Amino acid sequence: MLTFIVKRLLQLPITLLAISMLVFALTQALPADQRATAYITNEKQLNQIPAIIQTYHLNENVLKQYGVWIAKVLRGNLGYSTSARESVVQALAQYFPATIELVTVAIIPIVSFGVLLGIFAGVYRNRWPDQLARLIAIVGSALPSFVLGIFLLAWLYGNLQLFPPGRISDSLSYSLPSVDGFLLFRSLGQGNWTVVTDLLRHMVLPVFILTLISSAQLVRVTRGSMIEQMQQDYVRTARSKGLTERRVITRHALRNVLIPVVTLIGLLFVALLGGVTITETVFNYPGIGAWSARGATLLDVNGVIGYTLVIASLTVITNTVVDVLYGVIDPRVRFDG
Amino acid sequence: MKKLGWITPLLLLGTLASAQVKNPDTLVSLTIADWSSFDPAQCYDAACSEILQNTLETLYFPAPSDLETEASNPKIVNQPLLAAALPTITNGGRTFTIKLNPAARFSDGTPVTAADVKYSLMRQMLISADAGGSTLLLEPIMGSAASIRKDDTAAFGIMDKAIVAQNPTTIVFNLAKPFTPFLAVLAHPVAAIYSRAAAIKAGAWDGDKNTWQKYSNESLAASPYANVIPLGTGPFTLQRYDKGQQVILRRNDKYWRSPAKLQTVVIKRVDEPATAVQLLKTGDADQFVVGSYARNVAKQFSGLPGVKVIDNVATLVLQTLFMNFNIQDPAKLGSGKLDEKGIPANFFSDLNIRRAFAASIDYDAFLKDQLLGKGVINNTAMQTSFAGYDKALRYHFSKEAATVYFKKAWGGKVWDTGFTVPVYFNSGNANRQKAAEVLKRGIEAINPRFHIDVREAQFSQILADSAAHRESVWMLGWQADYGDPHNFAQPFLASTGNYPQNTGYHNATVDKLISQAVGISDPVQRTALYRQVVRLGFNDVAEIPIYQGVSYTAQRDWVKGRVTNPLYAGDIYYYTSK
Repeated sequence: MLTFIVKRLLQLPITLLAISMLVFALTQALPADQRATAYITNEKQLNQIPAIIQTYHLNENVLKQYGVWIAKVLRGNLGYSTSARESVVQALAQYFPATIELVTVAIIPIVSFGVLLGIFAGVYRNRWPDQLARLIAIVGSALPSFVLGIFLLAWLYGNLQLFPPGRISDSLSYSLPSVDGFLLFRSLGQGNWTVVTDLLRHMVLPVFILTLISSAQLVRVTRGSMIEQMQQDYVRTARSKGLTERRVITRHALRNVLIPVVTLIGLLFVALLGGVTITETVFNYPGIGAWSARGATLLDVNGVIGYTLVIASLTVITNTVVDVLYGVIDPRVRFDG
Repeated sequence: MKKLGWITPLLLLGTLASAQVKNPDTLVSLTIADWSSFDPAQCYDAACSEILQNTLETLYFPAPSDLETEASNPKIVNQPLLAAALPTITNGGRTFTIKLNPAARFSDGTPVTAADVKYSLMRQMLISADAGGSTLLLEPIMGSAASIRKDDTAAFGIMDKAIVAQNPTTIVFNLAKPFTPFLAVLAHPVAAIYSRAAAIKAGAWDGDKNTWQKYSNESLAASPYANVIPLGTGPFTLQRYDKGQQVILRRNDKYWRSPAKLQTVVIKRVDEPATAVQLLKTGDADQFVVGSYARNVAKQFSGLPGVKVIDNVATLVLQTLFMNFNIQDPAKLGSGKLDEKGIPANFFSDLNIRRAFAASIDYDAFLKDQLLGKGVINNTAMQTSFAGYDKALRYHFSKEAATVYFKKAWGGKVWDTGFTVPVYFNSGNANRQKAAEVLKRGIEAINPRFHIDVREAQFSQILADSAAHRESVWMLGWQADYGDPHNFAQPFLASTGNYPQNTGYHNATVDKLISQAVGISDPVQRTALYRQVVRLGFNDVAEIPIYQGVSYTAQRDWVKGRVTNPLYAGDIYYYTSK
């Protein structure tokens, strides 16, 4: 077991290094002048581009450039974000908490909906409830979130004046010292239920969209796992003992069904952190997704690199943690590993 | 019948409810822009300038225009604001003596003094931040628009003598050269006045001649005013700033004139127009900043109940096609010689080529098809409402005329050899793309050996390439800094101007006339000089100005008294009510 964990942990820095190289390599598709614009803050500095290229070694070989860049990154300096007009680290610190709160709230209905529908589909395999569950999952994941988001916004907010866009109502925000950083968690801790209710009201539509889109994968995995477990010997034994089907599922099969599901939930959480771009933009939710979309539009090279690097690193770290935990939960993995 | 009796009052109630003004003391204005810095030494874009012009005041300020009635012909008149009256100009136009309005007070109740004016303007110039607009002040006061750098040991002394606080209510400017538009420069937010004492207390430059170098070209974030407003005199103060999300302005109840009608102004960033539509529809937003959303989404705002769309709002933006007379990038030259596959580096140094290009654009079709008639064709390097503009100067789309010019060009060689010219527009700008395509259509119809290669590039790339003389042909827009013809003549036609430095255009007569015109106070003489300048630039085809756009905005019916002026950055909320 220890060997397995050590092996997985040793792989982590290597993978992170490979990711950083890959992300950096992508920037090489841009000419040096354009890479240099990542370091400027206004048009007038365009006259200083040759000096910027020299300062940051943007005209030298890729390895030298990578060396300068990675040394900077390792010191916690991800550069200046032209779209946020502050350092990338400051921008990430400003926009990430809102997204983390949104994703934390969204993961609850995503998991509930996805797992329940998956179990339902697995239990009633190839019968109409299964077909219906799969149809819901496919349609949900296939719908363009942008179109659906605008439709829901126009209908539920524009016509019925429910579920407004943004993160918090203006009138409430004035009473708070800041609307940056963690707001929901802070208000929950303080027992400020008025703010909590308002924040949740603003999250309803984005969470709904995320649920519809993101639960499809959970439905598929849970269904597959359910079908697999229901064919196992221990299930047959439980049935032969005369247990009810409900008891067989809840007491015996479900624990094993949930092993791959739990794994997926961890990865899904990180995937959502990087996948809320369109949802946040449509609902004017001030999170990392909306910021990254804006950054990409404005060719904020540092911003986009920083965002990509953080999301990719989080994915790899989460993947490793999940693998390790998976090993703890399921002994078979240890032997394979 | 009984049911109907119930329904009718309910419907009426519903109608009344929807017409009811939401939050009558608070105006919510939407924008897509971000706020770079609230330091006047760092702010040189529309979003931050909008906040500055509502919180800090200048000695003079452009008179407001009525958004609807004066949209196409706005007043561009600078009137005293913190100044008591127009300046007394002596010493052949070099000395401006300005009396301050004795009633003017900062929002903490302290009076505005000449020392505050001197400090504010000197700080702006001494910092000379790359991100800021100090060049506007430096040109008249120091005689050169070049930024001040920390190794310039003479700068402080020159500036100190140029700006003199004669007494607490009189400030004297001794300009390096006669500069007639100086008053217009003083009306720009880069010349915003704030409290010297409060600025020093906040950690800004202490006003000492030995310490200014420490602040020279300081970074955006280093300023104590990166996220807060200096203590000013404006009708509003900054209540809070949620970075990148919203700015909330609170009425300055101690305002030295009558207080603003609105208690609170929220300027909220909403990038997605579809979301903005819904916010206006529900009345959670009252308006959006003019020009925030592209014209092709205007239809989404029209027809919303309770929302009024105001179109044909004037802008001072001139969209222009630039040609580089000496292209220093082989990648733009193709074969690099006169043949069908490329051009020599100095291809555009031949006037006939430039004239042929100007005659190959179907301006009227572009206005009708692309701008849907919402714009003004202007082929001169002068804004239509400024002195010197001559509407008779029009390039005419003519295949015959273009043919004649092409046949003359390069000693008659071009007609036989042909050419391929890359023309750039910045990604996402549909109007500029279309203009490039109209040029392509016009030129390629003349001779099958003529080719225009319309290319897309990032805005920053075009700027970088043009600054380094590496661009071939490209489109950009220029927005007026201040309401004076110098602000167009200089950047478009002077050899030291922004664009001629990129294209290589140089006409000694034009340079002389611009230098002369900027110091002349007689409006008739000035107009005559600028007319000459503009005509020379037009005849030389220094560049091909194409059109001035008009903008639009939308607001709830309940918004009253909204004023604007194409020189304003966004709105002035002082006059607005609900």
